[in-house]
Amino acid sequence: MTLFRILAAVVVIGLTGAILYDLRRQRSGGRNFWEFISTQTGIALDLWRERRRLGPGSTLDNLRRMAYGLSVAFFLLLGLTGFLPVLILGDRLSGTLLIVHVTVAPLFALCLCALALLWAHRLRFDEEDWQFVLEPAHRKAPRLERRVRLALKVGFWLVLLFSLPLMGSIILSLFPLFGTEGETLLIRVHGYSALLFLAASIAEIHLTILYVQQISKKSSGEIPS
Amino acid sequence: MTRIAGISFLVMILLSLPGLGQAPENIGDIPDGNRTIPLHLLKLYDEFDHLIRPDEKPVMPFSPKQTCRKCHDYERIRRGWHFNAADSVPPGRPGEPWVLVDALAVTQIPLSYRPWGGTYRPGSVGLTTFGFLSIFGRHLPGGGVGEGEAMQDLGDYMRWQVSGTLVINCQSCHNGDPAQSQSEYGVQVLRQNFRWAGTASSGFATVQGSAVEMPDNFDLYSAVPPERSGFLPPTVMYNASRFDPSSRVLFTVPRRMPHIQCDFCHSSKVIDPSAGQRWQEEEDVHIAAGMTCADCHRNGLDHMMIRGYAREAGETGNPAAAEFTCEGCHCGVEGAQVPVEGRRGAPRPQHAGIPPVHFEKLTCTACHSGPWPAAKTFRVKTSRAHALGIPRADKSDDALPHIVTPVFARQEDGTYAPHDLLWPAFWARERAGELVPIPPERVRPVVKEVLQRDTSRIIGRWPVLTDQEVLEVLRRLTAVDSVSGKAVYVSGGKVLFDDGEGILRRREDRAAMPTLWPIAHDVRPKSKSLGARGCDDCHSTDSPFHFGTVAVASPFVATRDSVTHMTDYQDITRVSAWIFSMSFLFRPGLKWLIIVCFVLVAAVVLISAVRGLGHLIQILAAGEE
Repeated sequence: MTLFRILAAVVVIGLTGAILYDLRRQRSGGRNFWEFISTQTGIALDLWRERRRLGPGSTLDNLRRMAYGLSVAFFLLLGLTGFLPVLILGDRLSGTLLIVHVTVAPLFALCLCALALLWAHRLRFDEEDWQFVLEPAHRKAPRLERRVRLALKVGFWLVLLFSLPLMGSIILSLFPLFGTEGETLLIRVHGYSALLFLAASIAEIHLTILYVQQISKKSSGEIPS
Repeated sequence: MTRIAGISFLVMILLSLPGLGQAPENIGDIPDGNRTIPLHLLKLYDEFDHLIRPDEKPVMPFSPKQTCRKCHDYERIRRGWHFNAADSVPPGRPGEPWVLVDALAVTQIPLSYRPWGGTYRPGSVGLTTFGFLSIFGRHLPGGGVGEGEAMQDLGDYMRWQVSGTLVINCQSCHNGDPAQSQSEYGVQVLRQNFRWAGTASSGFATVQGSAVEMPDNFDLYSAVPPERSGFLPPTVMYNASRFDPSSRVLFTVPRRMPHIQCDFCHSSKVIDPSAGQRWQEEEDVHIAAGMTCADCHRNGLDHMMIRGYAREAGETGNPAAAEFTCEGCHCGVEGAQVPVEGRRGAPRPQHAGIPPVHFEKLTCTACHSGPWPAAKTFRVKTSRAHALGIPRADKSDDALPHIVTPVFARQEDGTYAPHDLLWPAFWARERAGELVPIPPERVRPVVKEVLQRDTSRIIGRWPVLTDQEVLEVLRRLTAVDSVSGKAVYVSGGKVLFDDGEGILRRREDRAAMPTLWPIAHDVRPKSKSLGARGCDDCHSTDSPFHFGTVAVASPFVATRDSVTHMTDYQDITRVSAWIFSMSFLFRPGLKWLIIVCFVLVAAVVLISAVRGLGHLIQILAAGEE
């Protein structure tokens, strides 16, 4: 548990630091923190207004957005309830936090499943991605949007990949298949895969925001399409 | 000839030197490695260390202390766990207290010489050591306060002379003779025949008469009969056939004492109306497997019995104690240099499917010990509290004291364990925020006077009280001695007091809280442990573990059938326990939901991976071309 706590702290601090660094890099140019927040909020509002102006999307689009939104919300809740007692208290998950965690977990699994089914095709690796990876010539002067989109796809598939041991370890522990040592191992697998899942998910969310910002800037003419 | 004489003389000189030619002291405490038990063909000695011959007149009872100490270090043994309650030793985990019951005084109060929480020193209720032994010595193996002169009250001096001291009766545990009768020992102690009790229990002597009926000037050696005719002085008659020509008696001392030797003092009877007859009951799984109590509760010469709870090794400073806990035998001791698990063939538990957090929050006994819990706690009778095994003990199911079981309560170390629980009931004086018990014999006449009903026929049950009756008793007790403080009555978890305006009020108080002590027997087998039928055994909205009710023993009509909740003794609220248990209702469905989601996600990942692999192969193949 101590090693896990240390690793979890390192991952969380590292992620936080990386995101803060990226945000700082984005707001370089003399803007202070509050101006940056104000700008980001403005972009989000513009996107929302644009979405409203375009009218309601197709059912599938709405489902996609809902699946994504719910997944993020449930993920944040699970991440908080799962890692808070470990990082802050150095203790196992128990009590109210445990009740919230086990209640939200199946819903999150459902959303993750919907996410996989609804976004797998859209975020599949296409020919351009393969060329970007396999042919060095295509990596010269690529657009930021292009790199972000590729990273987004990689992040998505990593999230799905890490969700397998995350769910699998808990499924196995719920049946009388393993003794105490096995249960301890499964809990450990769940913890470490949750850590990897956390890292991939946080990165994915950050990249998604970044990508949406790039799209927004392109449509407003800030950057050439 | 001269040479032979000279050598003989030299040998005599050598043999007369100390340490040579004489049996070493405590020869019985130094084993030579031979696994047989030495033949205990012993001469008997009385309390004054005089040799006993059965044809002497008057013949004295033999003293186990003087007889056994010839070969065994009595001074070391007397510091053992069964005898050291009044000594300044760490009290360890709380155990079963003695319970002073006085039905007429509506009293059941837990007593102990050990400073266990929720118990009172016998002296605080007016019990001298002599008085204590007269009531509870029936289930004591002797020693301790039985021979502690420093604790004897001066007012009892003459009675001690008449009765003698209650030395350790080694036979209580170590006599394998089928004629050994601990019940007879208890009877003799109740007659205050302390110096005769060991002899009477031995099986080769009979003791008649009663020290309690003798006057203070009773002379042990006098041939003059007591002044009161019809009262027989304590006399002992030995079975002469048990003595060999050298006045030695054969004692049967097996190495492994059968469990029935311990059962006399450590029995319990759960009052479960739904249980079948005695022949349908199961005994402890370890006993059923052929083990004895002493296989786990071991001790060395110091007789510091291993009690077998998890924290014992740390608290007593005896690391060996860790090997004889449930975990030590069944799972081993972490960090042990030599494997210790599997003692006596103890199987290693799999505990398949049980999350490891259970083993941090629960003791082994929580799932494996005591009666299978029901919606409401059971009453339980114990040897020491209810004088089980003593002839003419009250056999009724509602005999006082009222102890309930099992109560799944949180211990000091944060783990949950099953407990027995006693609601103290006693009259007390409030003094500087403390409640000082009033000796029951001072309350008895007041209660008798107040109660209109004929209380003389109460046998082991307390009378039903009304608020008015309690008020009246409190007023009379306060009037008798107002200097010592206002009289209150503790019962059913509350302190009852007169608010001065003629109304009986109730309030919470630490002194009114129930006394709990963990239990560990009988151990149920794996198939009868909590959780054997699934998580619902504990994690359901009506499981006794969280939602059972604990009966409150009270003499009041209004609160007769009142109960408290099991969660009151746990660090979880009833609501949160219910919410958590509710989640288990949907658990099977949610389990399958996660499985289906897992399969779908895995399928998506797998299909995409296969496609990606296929594309990669194509690219590589195109690259070759």
